[in-house]
Amino acid sequence: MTSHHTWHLDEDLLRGYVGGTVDGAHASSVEQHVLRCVACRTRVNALVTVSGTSMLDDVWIRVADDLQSPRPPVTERVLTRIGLAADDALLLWSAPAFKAPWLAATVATLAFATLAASINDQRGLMFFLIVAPLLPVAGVALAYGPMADPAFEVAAATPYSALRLVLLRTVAVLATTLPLAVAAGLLLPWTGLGVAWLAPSLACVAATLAASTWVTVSRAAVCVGVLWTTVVALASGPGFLSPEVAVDLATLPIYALLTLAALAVVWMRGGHLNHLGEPS
Amino acid sequence: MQAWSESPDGELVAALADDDLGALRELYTRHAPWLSVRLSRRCSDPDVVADALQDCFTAAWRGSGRYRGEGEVAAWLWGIAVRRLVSRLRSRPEAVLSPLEEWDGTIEPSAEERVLLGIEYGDLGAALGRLSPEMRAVVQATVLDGLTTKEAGQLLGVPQNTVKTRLHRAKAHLRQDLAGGVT
Amino acid sequence: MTDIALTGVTKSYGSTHVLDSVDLELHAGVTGLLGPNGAGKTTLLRILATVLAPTSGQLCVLGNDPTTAPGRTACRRRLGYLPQETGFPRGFTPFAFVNYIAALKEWTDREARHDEVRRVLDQVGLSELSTKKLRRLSGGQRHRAALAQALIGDPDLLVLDEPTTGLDPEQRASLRRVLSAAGHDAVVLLATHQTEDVAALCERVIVLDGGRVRWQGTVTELVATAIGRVWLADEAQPGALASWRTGTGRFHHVGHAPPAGAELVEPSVEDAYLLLRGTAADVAVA
Repeated sequence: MTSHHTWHLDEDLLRGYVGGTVDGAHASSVEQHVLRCVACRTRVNALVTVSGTSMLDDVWIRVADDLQSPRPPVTERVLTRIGLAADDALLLWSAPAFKAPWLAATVATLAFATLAASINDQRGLMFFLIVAPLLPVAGVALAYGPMADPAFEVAAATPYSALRLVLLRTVAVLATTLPLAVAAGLLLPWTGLGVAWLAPSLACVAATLAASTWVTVSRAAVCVGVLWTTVVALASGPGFLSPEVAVDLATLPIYALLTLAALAVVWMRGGHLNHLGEPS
Repeated sequence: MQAWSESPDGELVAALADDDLGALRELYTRHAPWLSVRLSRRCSDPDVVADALQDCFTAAWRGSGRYRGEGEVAAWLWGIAVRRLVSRLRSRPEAVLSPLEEWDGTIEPSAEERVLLGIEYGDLGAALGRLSPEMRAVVQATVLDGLTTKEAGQLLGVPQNTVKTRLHRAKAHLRQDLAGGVT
Repeated sequence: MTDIALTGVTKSYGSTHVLDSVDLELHAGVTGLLGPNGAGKTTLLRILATVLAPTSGQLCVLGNDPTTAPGRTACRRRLGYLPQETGFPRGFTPFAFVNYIAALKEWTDREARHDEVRRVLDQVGLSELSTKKLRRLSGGQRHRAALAQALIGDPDLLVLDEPTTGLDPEQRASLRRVLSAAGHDAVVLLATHQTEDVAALCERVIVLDGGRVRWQGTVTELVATAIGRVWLADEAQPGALASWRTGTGRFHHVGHAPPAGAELVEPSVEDAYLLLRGTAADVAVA
């Protein structure tokens, strides 16, 4: 297509075109020719770059930046809008909680727990009460350390506060698992259960964070899991009427106090957390 | 690492779908300069031209699948660039460039000019040269740049109906001119 | 001025001492940490990179004490670390990955951060591949992305664990260029079990074995310890510490007592290292 151009643009005309002194039909003529003739196009390019490339370089940087920058998903943009600093939003967005496998696992677990609860009344309820509050705990355990961040060892050598990162990711975990669990809970036939189990859930998460300033986060999560299961099992055992006792209104203040105490520990001992999920 | 400077334009566009920034860089080197000039001749504001150029290449990256290998890559890129310009001008109507020349109705191209126009367009070229600037502008925008009458209106800063009218009259002039003058 | 100083640093797990009373000093320039697998190189690097805490001993890294939390943070602000293996978050491009680490390195301003990311990617030659997903790149290219993050911010201390493994000769050469440029102003410590890397790149070398420092000094000094103990012969001779057949068909010997009248040759880093380690095994190379 471009090979058989034996005629090329006159140098003066080219200069005039690039310089803006040639107009009208002649300019159109040049333009149509340039579309098809590589040689003359190259000459036009050369004339343009001679007169200064800073605009072209600037535009290229903008193009490259636009294409290289990871496109933040809706979540990150929402976060920035509610006032979170842009780089915090970036780090939060990289959290595994927002990634599909975690979400899929959460949904699956909840579905199973809800199903179990709706089939078999007492045992099912107990199962739901054990699983639902512990889901965020599992999330926190996965939020940092080797499982969460494939680049954890590199991340461990960075100055960003591990505590801040853990808290950001815990928020991410809570933001994804709690709404799902609340929705599941509301589908259940028991009245009054509603969202009362959120209190032990938050207490468990806070306790896990606090404990992880002493032992590794996975160990902390397991301990909290075992403790909570024991509480629910005891509440369902002889002497009590049903597992719901574990989330009775009367117990809410206890959970609130526990949560606050755990958060105080986290605040004071936060410096002991590091990215490897091991206390230092 | 691939040396893209040897590859034809078509290969570069294919590589865009493969996320190859080096290919886009080469395309940019080959086409951004002349595109910027061509855009500047339709818009007087250099910032708008820069924005349109930027939009053009990001759009080329994202829409590389739409180039089917027909026609020159240069023409494909111009099609994207001019539409991006129209898009940017929608919010900046004052940046539109209006035809500059005076027209006294009796312009006769010089012999040299006739040769030039003749080679590119044949008789059509000479006939085009005899149109008024406004009519030539709409012909350029719709026929040469490939815009719709609506887009041409946005580019030239006139209502769409005005474009249609002028185009209609331009075509009538051209038909008359070409039918009447044989040489 | 001593930039890094370790005194009596020990790391033990139970009764096993992975590092045993390590004393060393590091200054600007490229230093090699040479030793066999299991010598404790990775552990030492992790301690220097503030990723692991020592069991006992004193450390002074760039004027900070990394055993305290504020000291650690201060170190990390001037540190670049390349571990032996790096994983990447799913779906990331080199740009996205380096950008993420740069954010963790407190580059809060988006534009400045992006410019820095582009700068380091350019240094490792990944500019044109910055938009391709990492999982679609080769091992060597992924390795370069991992190296790029270590170079963010022109750190004063660069700690690299086996950085040349898996690289082809051309890639090794370009890595050497990058590291030698960094070594002008920064302390660069690279762990390797390849003597060629030490020979090509390092000014100083520390030999680590069994968690202890066996030797430290300049590469020239190390090579000098082998002068007069390396010789060539037409046949393999017993009594040498190590011998192998070279490409020319003659036998290269390294040993403490060369026979009288032996044809001595210039020793290499490898020769000196072998002597130091005192291996008795014959290494036969076809």
